[in-house]
Amino acid sequence: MQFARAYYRDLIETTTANWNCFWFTPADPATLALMRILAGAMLCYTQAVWMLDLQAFFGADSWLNRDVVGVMQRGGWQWSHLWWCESSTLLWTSHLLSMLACLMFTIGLWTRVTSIITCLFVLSYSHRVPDALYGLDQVNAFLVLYLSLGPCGAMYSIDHWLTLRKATGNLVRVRTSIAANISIRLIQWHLCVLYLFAGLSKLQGASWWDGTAFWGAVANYEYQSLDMVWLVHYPELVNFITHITVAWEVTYIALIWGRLSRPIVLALAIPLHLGIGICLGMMTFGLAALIANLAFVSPVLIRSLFGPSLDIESAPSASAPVANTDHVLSGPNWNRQGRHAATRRN
Amino acid sequence: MDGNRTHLASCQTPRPDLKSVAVTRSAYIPGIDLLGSHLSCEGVTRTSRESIEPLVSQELRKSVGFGIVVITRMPDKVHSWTSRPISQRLGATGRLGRYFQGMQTTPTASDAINVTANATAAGAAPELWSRRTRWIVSLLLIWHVTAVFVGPAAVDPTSGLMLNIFSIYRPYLDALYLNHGYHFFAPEPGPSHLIRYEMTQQDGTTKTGYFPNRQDHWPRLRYHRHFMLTEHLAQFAEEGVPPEYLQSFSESYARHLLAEHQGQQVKLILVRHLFPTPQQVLDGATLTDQKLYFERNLGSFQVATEELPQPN
Repeated sequence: MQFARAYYRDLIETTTANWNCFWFTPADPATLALMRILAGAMLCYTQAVWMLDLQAFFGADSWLNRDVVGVMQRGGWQWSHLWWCESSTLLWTSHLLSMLACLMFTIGLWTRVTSIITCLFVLSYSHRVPDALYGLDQVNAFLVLYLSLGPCGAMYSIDHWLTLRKATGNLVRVRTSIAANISIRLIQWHLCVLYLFAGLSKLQGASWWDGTAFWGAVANYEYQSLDMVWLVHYPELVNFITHITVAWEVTYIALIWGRLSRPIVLALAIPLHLGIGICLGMMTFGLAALIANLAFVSPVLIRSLFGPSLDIESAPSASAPVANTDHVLSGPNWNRQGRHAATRRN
Repeated sequence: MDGNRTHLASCQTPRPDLKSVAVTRSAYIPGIDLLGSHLSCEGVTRTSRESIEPLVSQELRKSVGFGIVVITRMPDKVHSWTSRPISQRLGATGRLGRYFQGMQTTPTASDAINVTANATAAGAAPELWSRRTRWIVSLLLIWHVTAVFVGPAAVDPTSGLMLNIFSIYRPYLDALYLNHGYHFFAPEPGPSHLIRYEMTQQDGTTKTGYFPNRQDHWPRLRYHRHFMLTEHLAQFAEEGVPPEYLQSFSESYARHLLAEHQGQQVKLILVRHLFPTPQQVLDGATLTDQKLYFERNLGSFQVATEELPQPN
């Protein structure tokens, strides 16, 4: 009985501690900020392409009229402001505003507000034309949703630049944030679920077991953007790619958290998603998925690639007193190479 | 020494060169802003471990919130890494703080202990949330992460239980566009679908076309938008699906085509394009072999989008 009580107490304490550690540890927003730029650029491109068929998809005589969307969304809770944009002028005004929001979100201008507005626009477009969407839009939507929760404009943004400019001569440091951590964690969790079900659903199909499914993808003329029919002479290569795809997707949720296995899992994501992009003509989807995978990349690596290094950001200059200590990222003793910095297991 | 000092004093999380780090406890200790780090016993001398662990544990038991103590191995005489008292650097108070003060004056062996604090310059504390806030956010997070899982789990084939759970989450998933199955190329990569149309225009001339069309729909994303239109319609052309779905989609597409091309009447044909088997390709077939295309009449529609009496 005593053992059971001790076990129960330990279970509760450990679970609570791990839960708190997982969700409520402040994180450097560098990863989130880079993802904002890339995801924002993808949203800008997506919105720009809508512009080519704006009337065809959202106008009065659109491909998907109110009746057909209503049938699909019967009993649902989808909403879209585009149903009220019946005139061409209103539709174009709304669309240009959405593009402006996406652009401001990408460059990080008034990010707190523009991230939420962009998110609302993305959801609204998704609900208006659900049958013209695919994986790209699903990834876009959850990325902007989670990015809007965290301080994605804290770095690599006009907002940050303006803050630095305002504090001329003073030290301004980016503050670690629990919201940044929660945003990153939510993206990570969402990716894990996405890949898990992508893998599990494949296991229902015989061709994913007998190793021929990859052929079915590359031999599909409507998807094909690179002729891969030569693979017919290498059936075992087709088998291998099929098996590795399923294995990668199913095990992603487990292996991505390991310190040693994470780089391998992420490295495999690159050929998988670029392969989808190059061979199956879905480059946007492939890139969006890779952007989402950035959530598992340490902010230290992001900083080492794109700066600013933590020592520059946190080293007080002799002539400049520390003025804005609310934005301190770290203690005062970051090393000169920035190599020491947090290698948090995201 | 100075290099070590700057190198070690600012570790927010364990340094990469540490072999192993174990998170053994985490809690918020009021008045001490120790964050984002771990209690590590790897490489720490037995003496130092024994001396610090009971103290840390005691403080943790008294704690009311969250935060994590970092104790990592240091290769050098860590105790003199700063001229300031460590407790001042850490903002530490209470018994643990006194212990840290003690560290300053009672160095142990070179294989000693470093306690890392986050963001303590000029008294600035890192962000911390109150227990109440964390409770509220935790409940929201539990709701959301469950919703993200339930969405794809409730896609057919699924259980009655999962469908019941899904009905609770559906408004949330719908509103945030999270209601997806993620069944990419599953359960099997299947055939693709196009829609061919034959249109009589208002001046009596006829016009034919199909979508998606690589020549007309560029860039590729635009092509995919049109491709998804036909793929979604094709889902409703399967047996067992109520015919009104296919009818609604066909009418909507027809109405659009008539408006776009100033047509009078249009006939829609769903084209199913199978992919060849490897053996067929080895036997000389191409991906666009005519034998791989199958057609199904979706009906004829005129300007008022009323379907004309048409057989299949």
